[in-house]
Amino acid sequence: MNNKFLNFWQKTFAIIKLKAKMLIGNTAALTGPLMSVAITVFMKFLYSDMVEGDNSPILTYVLNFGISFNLGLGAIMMSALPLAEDKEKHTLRSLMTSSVNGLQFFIGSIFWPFLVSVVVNYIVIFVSGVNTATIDMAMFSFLTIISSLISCMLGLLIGIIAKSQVNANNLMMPFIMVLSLVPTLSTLNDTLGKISNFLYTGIITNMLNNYSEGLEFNLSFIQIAILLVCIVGISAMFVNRYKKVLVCEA
Amino acid sequence: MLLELKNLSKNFGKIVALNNISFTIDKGTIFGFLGPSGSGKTTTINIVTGQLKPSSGDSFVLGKNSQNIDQQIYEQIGIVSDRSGVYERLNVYDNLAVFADILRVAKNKIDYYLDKVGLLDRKKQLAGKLSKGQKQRLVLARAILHEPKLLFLDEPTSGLDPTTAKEIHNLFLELKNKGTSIFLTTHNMEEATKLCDELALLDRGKIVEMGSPKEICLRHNQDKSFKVRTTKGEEFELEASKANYDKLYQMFLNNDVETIHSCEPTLEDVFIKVTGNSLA
Repeated sequence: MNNKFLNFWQKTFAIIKLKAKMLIGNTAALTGPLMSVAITVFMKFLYSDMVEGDNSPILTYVLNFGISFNLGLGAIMMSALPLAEDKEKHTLRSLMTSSVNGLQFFIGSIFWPFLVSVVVNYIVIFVSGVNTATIDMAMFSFLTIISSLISCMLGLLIGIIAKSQVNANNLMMPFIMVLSLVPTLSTLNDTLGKISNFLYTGIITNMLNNYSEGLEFNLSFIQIAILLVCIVGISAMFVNRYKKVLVCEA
Repeated sequence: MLLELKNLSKNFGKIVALNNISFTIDKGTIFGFLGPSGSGKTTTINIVTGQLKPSSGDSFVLGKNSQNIDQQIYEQIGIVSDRSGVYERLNVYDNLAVFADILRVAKNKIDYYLDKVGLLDRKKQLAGKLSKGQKQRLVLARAILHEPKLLFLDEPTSGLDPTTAKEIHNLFLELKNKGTSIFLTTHNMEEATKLCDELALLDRGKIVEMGSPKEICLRHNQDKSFKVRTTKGEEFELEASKANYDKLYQMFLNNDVETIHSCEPTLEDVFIKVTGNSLA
């Protein structure tokens, strides 16, 4: 049992090590998180005339923009593109036939995108200039960590479905549009607002909107259900697709 | 036995890729699948390594059904196929180091096997900059790094120059002597003759002949004849008959024979005779 446990983590760490090397060289995948920080800086500059003190709702809006882009674009790109590359170059198959199982590959692949995504969420707070005293950091941390996990899992699912990196880019686009833009534009349109309420990135927008108005934020039953459905649903779909990658019909 | 195939068949729609294939591979033997492109060689490897489902029949790798191969089995086999990829943005050494970590192999073995496949002087080179043949050698080094009990090689020397191919052949024989069993697919008759202890000739998904290369050739050596070259430079073929034996005897007495060779068929001759097609 102990040996099995060691064996499991030894392989998982080997994948984590491999993925670190591969991610560093993948400029396309790193563009997402860098863009999230850059867009936050840009938005803050754009609205600089409207900011009145560090409690300004505009700063929370800028923060929401950065978080939404990090979750809807950065985390998905970082997870999807390296996996699509693995499929395209047949290295995923080489790993699978070298005794790496689905869970080891999943943990190894999600580790760095998840970590980078979580770190970027905090960087964006400081870049946006929001007064952290106005934010319940425990709730913020909980929600952004869970959402980063969901985004990375969604990225892995897209990556494993895609036939190539180009295909992955095409598949990502609708998710990026919905997950990043719908919450950020939700205050401008009622329909978008209603859709946003059912998105995990939308839950963060609701939380930040509450904080900008000086209100508290607690997760509702529906919001908890949305988060759980995303985690369980995407995990199940990923495991199902992983098995199909090895045993194909052609 | 390390590999067993029982009445294995595979259809892709109406196309029959494999038709009732059965054979076994024992420890320390090289078993060859010789056949032209599209005869079902790669399909067989994909099925037995758990990468493709058969339409009917079973295959067992190290005693386990191929459809249920687990991590423990993958740790004991090596696979080289056209579906084996390399990490192009990692250097040659790091490509093997990843798999050394996964398969718990000591890192000092990496240099040993890189040397064996002739890539030691390129260990710092990015894998993406390697030629097709060099990438193939890198995949081979990766497949043998953990000294597997059973090695699956799908056309392992196609595209390699003759000198490198010879070195790789010697490596296969070395692995065999260490106890590794090898399942080799090839359309190269010389390679099959030189390496294989046992061989199956495959045509359109069906095994048409099986046995050791020598057995197969002798089985089809019905028109026994000899090729003779005289000391005067004449060359001719003599059929095996009493009259020709007498003629040869006289030539030997007169010291007229420069060289003499038996003319048993090659594997290619056998393949053409049995299937009506060539191996190319």
